[in-house]
Amino acid sequence: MTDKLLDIAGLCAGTEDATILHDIDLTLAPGTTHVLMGPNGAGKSTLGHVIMGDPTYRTSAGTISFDGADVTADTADKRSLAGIFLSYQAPVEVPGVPLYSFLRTIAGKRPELKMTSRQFRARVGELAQQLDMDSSYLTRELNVGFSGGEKKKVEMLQLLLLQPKLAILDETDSGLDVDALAVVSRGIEAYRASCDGTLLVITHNTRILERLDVDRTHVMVKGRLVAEGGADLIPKIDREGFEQFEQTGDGDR
Amino acid sequence: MATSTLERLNTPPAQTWNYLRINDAVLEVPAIANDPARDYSASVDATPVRPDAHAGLEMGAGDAATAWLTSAATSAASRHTVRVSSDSPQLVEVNLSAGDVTETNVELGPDAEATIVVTASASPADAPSTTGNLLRITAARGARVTLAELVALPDSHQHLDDVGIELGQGASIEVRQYVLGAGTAVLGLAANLAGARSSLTLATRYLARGRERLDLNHVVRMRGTDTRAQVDESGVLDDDAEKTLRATIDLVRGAKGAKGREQETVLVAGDGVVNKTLPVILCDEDDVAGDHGATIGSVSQDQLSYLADRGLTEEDATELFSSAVIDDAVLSAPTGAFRDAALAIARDLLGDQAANDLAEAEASFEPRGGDAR
Repeated sequence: MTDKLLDIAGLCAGTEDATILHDIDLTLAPGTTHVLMGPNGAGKSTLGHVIMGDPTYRTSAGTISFDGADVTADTADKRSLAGIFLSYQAPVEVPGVPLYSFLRTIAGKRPELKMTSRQFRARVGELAQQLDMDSSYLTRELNVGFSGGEKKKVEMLQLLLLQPKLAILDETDSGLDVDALAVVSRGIEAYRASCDGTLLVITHNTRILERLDVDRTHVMVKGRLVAEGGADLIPKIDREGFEQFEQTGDGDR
Repeated sequence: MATSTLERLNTPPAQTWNYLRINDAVLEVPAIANDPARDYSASVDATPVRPDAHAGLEMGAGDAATAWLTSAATSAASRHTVRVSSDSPQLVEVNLSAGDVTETNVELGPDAEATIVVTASASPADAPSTTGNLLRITAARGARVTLAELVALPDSHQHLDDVGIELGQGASIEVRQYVLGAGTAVLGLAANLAGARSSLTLATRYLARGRERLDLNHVVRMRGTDTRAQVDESGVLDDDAEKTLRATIDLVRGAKGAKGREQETVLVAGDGVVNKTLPVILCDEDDVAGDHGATIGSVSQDQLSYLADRGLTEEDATELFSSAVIDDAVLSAPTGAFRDAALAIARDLLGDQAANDLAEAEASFEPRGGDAR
């Protein structure tokens, strides 16, 4: 196994009109937990989507390697099957597609998850229970009419079912009440415990991090990674905010 | 067999240019053939229809359809009036097999609750036929209604569906329609939101393939103050299928605070598909909101991106949407007859293994909106 699950080097990316991410270097080792923090509009979510291969964004320079292979030119579906998972900040509603059918289809695309129908139903039933979801959710249309908290639980359900090598959680904690946050945090813990997966948690709220053992913290300002440190950087940001990094430009990196 | 032609079916309130051929539908039907000995099912005590009881109730498929259905449903067993009071929620089940035509009136008293399930199915071995469902629903103050309809017929059969709904103050109805198969299916639904704060949600899901023809007419009259309507039609058209949808939200003078929304999603999977839509919002009141949205042709970019992030290509996504229409009908089946009819289509189109999986999943998980069984 490579010691670099994700290796981003010199990455510049953005839309057709503007470059949003500038010269990003980021390395994630297998089984580690990273936090990406920064003020609103810093480009954190954009980085998550670019790693996932969102066609909205164009990569103008640099490379993204995942699990030893260069995936810079790969489409999102290929990156997903390779083991990258992006949990959406605002999951998309898909009318006409029951959650159960969706889960069955995405699991069926992954030979490593091969199981009988009975095993599959037992597995998703068990995961739903773990996330305090009534089994009737499985027969509802994907995310249609779900509350913000319910949508995030569905994201966690997919995370636990697919057990990707890398999970990028894009502001998974936003808009959650205390109870939903606890359920989501349990889901993240369960993911880490079940497959020793790698986490990149994008957030500007430190509460979701309370139950995680964070290995590295990265700070992004204006599309640049301006600081990096251990878990001790989080309480510092909590106390002093991002102004220190905005003022120093490229921070203490 | 002698036939007659029903003209001006599914006529919308506002007409458009004739050359678009969208102003109405035509259907060739048997010249009234009904077996008086046939026993139509209804799971509740029923009394005969009073001929003039619902005069004035607007019906979705129009006068010609209503007249034919009324004439065709001549036996006592095929005509029902069900009265529901607040002390006893009711299940009204109408199961149509090849050639059946029924007329059903459901009258809900104040705060009453009813689930109405209409299932039209037939075996490929049955001789070609027309099934028909005439359904009138009147809901008094605070009443709640769930209506589930399934058309799951071989393409040698056709179906005519004519529904009229009237809601009193604070009454609500949730309608789910599935059209999974029929050579020709004509479904008209008209709802009169007469009472203040009455509400309707209508979701129509369809899968049309081969040379199947689907004709839909949805008319929502918003008359009461602060009424709400959410109309959502979505489906998949494959091969040489034809679909026509007319969807009208009429914000009538006096309906202050009313909000109506209509949303259509059509996935065109076949090269020979004909897809026509006439969305109309009529407005004669200032303080209202009405809007319409449509995604026609392919899966929306947002949905494609989300599905790609889970490992699905565009081709996978199209297949998922097609099979999901059938899955959804099975997984949300409120009755055994509904489930069995949807599963028959699943076996035909998705194969035995997928159908068995669905049947077991349906038995394992609670259906959306609860199980009426």
